[in-house]
Amino acid sequence: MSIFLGRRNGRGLSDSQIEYCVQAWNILCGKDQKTLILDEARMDRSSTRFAEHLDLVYLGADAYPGEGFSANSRMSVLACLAHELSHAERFARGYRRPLEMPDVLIDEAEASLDASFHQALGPKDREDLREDARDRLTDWLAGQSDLGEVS
Amino acid sequence: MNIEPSGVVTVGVCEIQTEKCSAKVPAPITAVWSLPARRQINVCSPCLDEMIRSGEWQIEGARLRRRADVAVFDKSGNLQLVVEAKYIRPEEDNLNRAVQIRRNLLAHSGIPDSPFFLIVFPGHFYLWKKGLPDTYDRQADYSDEFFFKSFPEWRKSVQQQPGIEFERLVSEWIKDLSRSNDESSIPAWAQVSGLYDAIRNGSVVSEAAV
Repeated sequence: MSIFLGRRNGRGLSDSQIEYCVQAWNILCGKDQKTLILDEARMDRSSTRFAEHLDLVYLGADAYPGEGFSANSRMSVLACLAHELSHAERFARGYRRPLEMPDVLIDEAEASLDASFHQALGPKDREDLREDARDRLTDWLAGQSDLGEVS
Repeated sequence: MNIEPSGVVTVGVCEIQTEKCSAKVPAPITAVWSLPARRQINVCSPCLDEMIRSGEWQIEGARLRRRADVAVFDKSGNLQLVVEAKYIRPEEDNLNRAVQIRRNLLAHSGIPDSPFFLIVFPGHFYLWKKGLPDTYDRQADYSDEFFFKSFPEWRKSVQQQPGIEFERLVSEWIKDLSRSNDESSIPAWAQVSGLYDAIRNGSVVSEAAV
């Protein structure tokens, strides 16, 4: 299933939702705590993302799952934040990722796959992240096929 | 013991409470299940990490962050030695326990592929040299007594904060070894194994991401 068929939450987060995200972030980071920027989380349609020029993760409304059947739509807050943490950790390890479509999909897939091994995740979260990785690769391959680069 | 994380995050008190515990008072914790009994255990993130690193818990399909209690890089910046320092009970201070810890770290990808890997307990240390063929249960290549008692100045602080101070002691011990220019003072195991040459005048880093 394409990730474009799903949609995560778009409604700005409440205080209690933000508090839960901070707790989840704390569990994911463990001893190596990283800053989670909360400034935009109350805004509708704000996005959770790793800003590599600032080396910071922003919390957005889409940290929460939304409606839809895709793995990306339904993955939990913990899985979503594990994905962003994976971006940050891979950046710290020296990975430099493509930021433009379609190749950004490969990086997103790799981040989801990497995140799926996080020790705090339950089996469902691991499965959702791996499915999300598969969907992103499927989309990338479909794009390549359209360009005639993959037969 | 096999563990399955639940993915549940809440605020509470950690039931494990290692020295590195972040939830001795209410703080973010997660719940894991012991298998096969499925008993719920509430645990903070540093204790979860510590239980896996120490070989007490295993989580199928999980990977540890690559971190070393002490890491030594040579002058070119290449990782040469990864050290795990564990202040464990005397009855566990043996080769079997060291092999168990190494196996768990390898199984969870918690240590990188470095030329040397060292586990130090209060009474003994165990050194593995990279070589083929390798298996999770490979016995150590070199081992000896760790003369913890010959560091009397550390006794008090180690008793007060065993895990943290023992790691510091081991770090200092490795620093002394790497910076020693008097070859006659270098123990035979460090010379024969090639460790001394590998880490000589290298950079010793504690709590390193590797």
